Amino acid sequence: MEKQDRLADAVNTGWAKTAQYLFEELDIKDKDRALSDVPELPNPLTTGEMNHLPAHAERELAMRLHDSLTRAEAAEPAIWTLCHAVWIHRGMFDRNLSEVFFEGPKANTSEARTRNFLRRTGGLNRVRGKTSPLVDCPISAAWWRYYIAGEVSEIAQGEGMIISVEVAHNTLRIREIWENLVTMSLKQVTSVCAPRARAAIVTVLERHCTSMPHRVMRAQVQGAIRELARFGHTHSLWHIPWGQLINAVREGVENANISGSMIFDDSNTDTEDLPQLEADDT
Amino acid sequence: MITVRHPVLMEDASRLEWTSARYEVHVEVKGSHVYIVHKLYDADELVELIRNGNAEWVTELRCPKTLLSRQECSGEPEQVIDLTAEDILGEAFIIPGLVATQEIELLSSGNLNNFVWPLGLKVLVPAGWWLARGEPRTTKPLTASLVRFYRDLRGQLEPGQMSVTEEADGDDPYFGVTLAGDLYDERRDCRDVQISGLIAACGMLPKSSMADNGDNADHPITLRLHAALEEAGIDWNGYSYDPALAATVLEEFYVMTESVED
Repeated sequence: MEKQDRLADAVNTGWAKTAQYLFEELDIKDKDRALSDVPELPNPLTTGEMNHLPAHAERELAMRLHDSLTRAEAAEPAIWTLCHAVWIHRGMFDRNLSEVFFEGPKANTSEARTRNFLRRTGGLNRVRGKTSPLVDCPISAAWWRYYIAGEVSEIAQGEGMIISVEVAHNTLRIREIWENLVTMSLKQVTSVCAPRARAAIVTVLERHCTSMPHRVMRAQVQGAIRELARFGHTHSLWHIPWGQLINAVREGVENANISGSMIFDDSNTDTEDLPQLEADDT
Repeated sequence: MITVRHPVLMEDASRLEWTSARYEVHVEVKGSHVYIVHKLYDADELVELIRNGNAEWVTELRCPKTLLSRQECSGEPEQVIDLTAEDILGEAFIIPGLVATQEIELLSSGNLNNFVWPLGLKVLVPAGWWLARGEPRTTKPLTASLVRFYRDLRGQLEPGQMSVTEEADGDDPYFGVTLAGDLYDERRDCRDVQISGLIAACGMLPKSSMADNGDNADHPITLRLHAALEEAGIDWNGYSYDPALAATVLEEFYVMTESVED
């Protein structure tokens, strides 16, 4: 409770005190080094942008941060929290930090607001598990989406299918696709971590979305992933011909259509609807 | 998708397609590398496929936390995979096997189950099919699974003191070693602290959930522990169980000696 009060006090006071609070919580002894090592954001971000980063802003931000972080660093919530501490120190967010970081679903208690803050500045492993940096923090999620989009584009083009980084990125920005893809990859069907598998899934879903531009069904995304995972039990997803991989994903999407268990995407859907994630082991 | 049956040789021999063939794979993690050695017994057909380039050894490195999957493929049974610190966070898995690199014909001999594939039948196996599969292994050292260090935030310990309790992370048992602040600050570099914590954890084993009549007696970490200590002839359920020996079998304790300058 005391920590929550200190955080609330710091956020209500402003940038400098919030940054200092985070530096202390992270036990950062060499603040000058942190300030020099953390990369700059391309532009300050408004509250509206932090709530929903436009595609071009997300790409610009991710491109700026792309080479500054390794994969392992980008999966570590503490790294992102440190980055946010420095960015807050530099005044890269609205002065009303409470609106930027405290607000969100169920932000009616001190505990909920604290959780929102921690989730949005780097992820909350202990509650939200391993997917937190990939889903909860807008900036870290942007990094990962762009990273995966680049990988998808490169692999698909190597297999003779043209899908630009921008198109792949736009597909991954569809919430039902991104959240189901990373959650299932992390927890249920780790075999789809194979880059070729991801490329096939995104390529098929991109074309599917093109034909149905305003609706993506959660069951179809999950169906695509599960079908590929089933395929992976008997075939190496790295060696199987690309055409067969694509057909397996399409089959998963079509079977989801036939089963009729469609849950339409709702942009107001609370992320707490996702399966409860286990606490992370460190 | 219609499921078609093709033969798979499992490391754990859980399938019946091959009558006497065996697939063994030895995986060892040393520092930042993983060394893999694949072996086949009584599977001449598969050996021939590898020789002809129609099949190859495959070992996948998978780290879910970083959405990483990387493969090492070769015709040689010895492989090495780098555990690049930049790509891996937390636990990673090694998944070995043998894959058909293209569509192949497997001639059914006495080594295949002739009830399913009569002698002389040509079995068409699709490209990418797992011809042999090994058990997934973790790259996480056993001791890292067993012990975690915490700072004494409640101020219950005097300087230089530590305490140990059994904990659980979901379904995974481990021992939490709480350290007074002065010890906690040294934990990363001080072998004394690390080994003391490990000895304390090993001392708890006979009374823990990993004991023979405990809830975690069959847990994978317990089985790995048993296997590691059995090789050294240590049974933690025995009367003469020595936790210090157990700990130093799991992880060698060495004393850093300072060089003396003339």
